[in-house]
Amino acid sequence: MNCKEASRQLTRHEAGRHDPDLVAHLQKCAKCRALSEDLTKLSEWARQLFEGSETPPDFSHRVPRGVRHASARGFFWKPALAVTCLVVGCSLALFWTFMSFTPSELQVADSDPSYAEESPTTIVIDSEPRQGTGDTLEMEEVPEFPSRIEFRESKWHRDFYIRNVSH
Amino acid sequence: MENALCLSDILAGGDHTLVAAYLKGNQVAFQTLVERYQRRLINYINLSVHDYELAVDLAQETFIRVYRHAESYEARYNFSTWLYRIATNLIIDEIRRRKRRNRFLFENFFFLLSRKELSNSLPDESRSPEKTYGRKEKLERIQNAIDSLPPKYRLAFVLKEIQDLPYEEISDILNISPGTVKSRIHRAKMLLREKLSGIL
Repeated sequence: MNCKEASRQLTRHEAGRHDPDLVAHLQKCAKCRALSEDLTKLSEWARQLFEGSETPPDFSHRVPRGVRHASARGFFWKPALAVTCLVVGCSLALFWTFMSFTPSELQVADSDPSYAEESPTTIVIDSEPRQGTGDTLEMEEVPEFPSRIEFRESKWHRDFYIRNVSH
Repeated sequence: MENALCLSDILAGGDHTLVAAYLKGNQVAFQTLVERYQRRLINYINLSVHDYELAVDLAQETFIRVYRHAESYEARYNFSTWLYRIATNLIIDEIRRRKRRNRFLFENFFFLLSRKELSNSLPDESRSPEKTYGRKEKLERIQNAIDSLPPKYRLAFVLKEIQDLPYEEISDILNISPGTVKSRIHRAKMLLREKLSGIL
């Protein structure tokens, strides 16, 4: 047995220290003998680290309290999270609907002359493009078709551009 | 009387019996498991993270996880293996968290400072002053040396040398082969011998 094998055996097996080969090696090798003594002391001191350990007196009662607390926390957070997700989802859906509003009604108005009379949206017509804001503009003149209605949308308001293309 | 006998049988039984009883709703069985393992578990975590209050919190969290997920316990493992495995995962998370925050050195510095002050201010009267100081100092130095080991060596060393678990169980807890466990313990002991050359 060489020193490398001896050191491995010394660190791995308590019982292996009685191995005749190891005992023979230790008798003739002072370096490994010193290692053996150091490792024995290290093990003894390490065990004292366990013997000196303590437990808080109320620990066994803290665990059920912790379980109840964790359960209560879970009970509160799960519905709260669901409600929050629902509110955020609805808000996003409304916002998206508002922002992605397409001028479908105006397109209908562009192709259907009767729409101009039925539509609650009234539009000012000029020969020059004129800008209005909001869904309802004060009616000054019923559009004569064919007229061209353009719709522009920015982040915060909508603009209507009405071009009379009949002349 | 019959119920009392049944309860005493359960409480005197092994861990598997207690887990089975707890799964049937017996809270006393769970309490018994906690009392059976609390000291070992707190000691293991404390020596791994070197913070007693944190060790108590993590031990509590370990038992809470056992309480909530007991039905997922596989009886082919020892209960202690499962328990230590949960605790080890929490320890590894804590070590990673410390590494991320880069706080470990500062916390350790102030912690060691406070321990030094405490050990000087609270002499153990059951032994002679010289012997007491020597013993405490040695234990403190050994604990500091264990703290300075890389986590993979530290956990293997604590589980084997301090918790006195068999290699096979350590292998299951750390999810590595028994050969790797032996190799890590060998390396840990050689490093500790170097670090503690003055007091061994």
